[in-house]
Amino acid sequence: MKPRTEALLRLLAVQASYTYERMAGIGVGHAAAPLLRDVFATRSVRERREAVARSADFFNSHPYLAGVAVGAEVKAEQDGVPGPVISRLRTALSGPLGALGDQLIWAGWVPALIGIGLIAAPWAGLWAIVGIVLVHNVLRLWLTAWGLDLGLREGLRVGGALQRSWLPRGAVEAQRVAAFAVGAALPVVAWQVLQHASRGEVGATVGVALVGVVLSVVPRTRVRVSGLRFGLLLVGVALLALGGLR
Amino acid sequence: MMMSPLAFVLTLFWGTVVGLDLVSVPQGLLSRPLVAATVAGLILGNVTGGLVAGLVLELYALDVLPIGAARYPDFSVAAVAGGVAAALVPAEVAAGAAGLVGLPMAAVGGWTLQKLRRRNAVSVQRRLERVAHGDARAIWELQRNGLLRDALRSFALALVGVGIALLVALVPWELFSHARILSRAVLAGGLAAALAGAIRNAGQGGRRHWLAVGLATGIVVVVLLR
Amino acid sequence: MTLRLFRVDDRLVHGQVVIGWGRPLATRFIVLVDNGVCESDWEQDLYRMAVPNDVQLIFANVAEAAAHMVEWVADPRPGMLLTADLATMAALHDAVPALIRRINLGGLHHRPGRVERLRYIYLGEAEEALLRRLRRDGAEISAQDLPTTPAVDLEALLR
Repeated sequence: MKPRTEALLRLLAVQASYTYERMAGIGVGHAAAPLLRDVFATRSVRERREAVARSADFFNSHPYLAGVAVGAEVKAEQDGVPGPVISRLRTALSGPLGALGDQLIWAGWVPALIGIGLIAAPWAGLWAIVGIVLVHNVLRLWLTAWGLDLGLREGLRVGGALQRSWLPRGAVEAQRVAAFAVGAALPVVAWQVLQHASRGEVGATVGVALVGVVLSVVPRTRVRVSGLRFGLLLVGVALLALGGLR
Repeated sequence: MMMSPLAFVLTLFWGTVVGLDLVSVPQGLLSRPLVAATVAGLILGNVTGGLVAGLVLELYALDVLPIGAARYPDFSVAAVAGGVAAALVPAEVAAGAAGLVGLPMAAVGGWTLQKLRRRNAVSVQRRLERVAHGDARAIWELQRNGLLRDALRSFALALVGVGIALLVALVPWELFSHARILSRAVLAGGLAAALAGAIRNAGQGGRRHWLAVGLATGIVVVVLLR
Repeated sequence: MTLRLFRVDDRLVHGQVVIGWGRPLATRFIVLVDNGVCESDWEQDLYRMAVPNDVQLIFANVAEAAAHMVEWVADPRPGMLLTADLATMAALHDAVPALIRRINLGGLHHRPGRVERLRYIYLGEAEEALLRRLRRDGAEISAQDLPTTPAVDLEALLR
């Protein structure tokens, strides 16, 4: 298998040995290993081992964009950039790749696709699910490969290249689509689940939901009231209100 | 409706796959409740039940942003268990059963993720010297063991979750006078979670405007469809 | 005071800062105080890329930050100030103690010599001493990675 292909496949499991100490560092080292083996084929074993050790140090970014760091680091090693500068590159890439990935993916295309799936599923059923999974995985694979190639091409200059790329603008647009799709999905899901409910039940459900929204958003209460906690509380109350056996 | 041995085995396998998908590999959207629960329903021959579980549990998952190593609940295997429960109970209690099983399981799943990361750290500590000396074999071992550990975690969660779902399916729901209140409660909590999460993530810029436009569009669609 | 958050986080600009805190605080400018980043164009490129278009990112070293602090505090836009380490935040606090009352510990990760206090806070002995000194000098210090998680005050953190 070609080193790039091997690195790409390994990037799909970049968080497999995630820890709080190194975060995804070991996974990044694992993904970089085939490329480093190639780069250091004609150099000393000591140099290669130093590079491998550097590549497995602390690293935390969005997993889909970790390839950018892997590529940039390998290119910097190939160019003979001093070790401390490469370590600084890793540190500097970590936060921004995390921020950008979180905006583009976790707050962008994932909720956007899920919103579309929630709207379409009641009509298209399984096909809606198959559709969003396919689109997501095509995008995920393409982004991982794009990031790896960008890093391998740009090395230390990867920051400027990322800034000039479609990525920052894409993150803004993806979040807009996500906000719209999630907003549109909520009434559709409520309608789907409440189809046979009386007006009183619909009103009570929406009213309780709005109380939950206020508690989850207001700074004074949001630390204690997460969506999950509020849901668990409601389940507990509902169990008490199930009523007697008919 | 009960579960065949083959369906039981398949749901455990599916639970393991989606548990791995959440963090370890490949993060391909399989762990989202909408996907995980619907497929669980399909395995049991009741796609509609699984889909209802997916719809309501997905609302809770939309509140979760896994940013910067923050702690978060794990809705992946929980949704499989919720989907199994929803597929096995009467339709009017499906959403309620999904929440009854899925929400506590999500909290437990989140806790197991913390434990998994601590255990991975012990494993790294044992190989620290080899990793510090650039031993690629040690790094590969850490990845392999991490994957196996997460697979074990996911399988165990699936076993417990599906077991609880089967117990919930034994409850004579049709005999309770207000059984559907459970479904309403789970939906209300989900709507609150998703909307609060969307408001927080939207901030105060144009995204909030798009959220409002989306909500209005959704309401219009529902009014037209009624 | 419109600088709403003084945060120590070794990842500087990342998802928790931009989305986790940035959105609920409606942040419009971020001051990144770091002597090293201040002298490195490529690092500045990286951090700039991570910040949304509607948020201004200002780079400063400690001396520049101390000199501009009054101006930033008077800025009507909501803002936050980030440092990657405690020493930088302490130097800034020493220069303008009245303007930095609350310090948020958002992420200090594992390094040799540091001990885990929270899953996102690892501290060495010198850093603990620095935190105690900052508290004696009047700073309120707590650890909190996201606004939706409970804050842990310094006393509980060092217990």
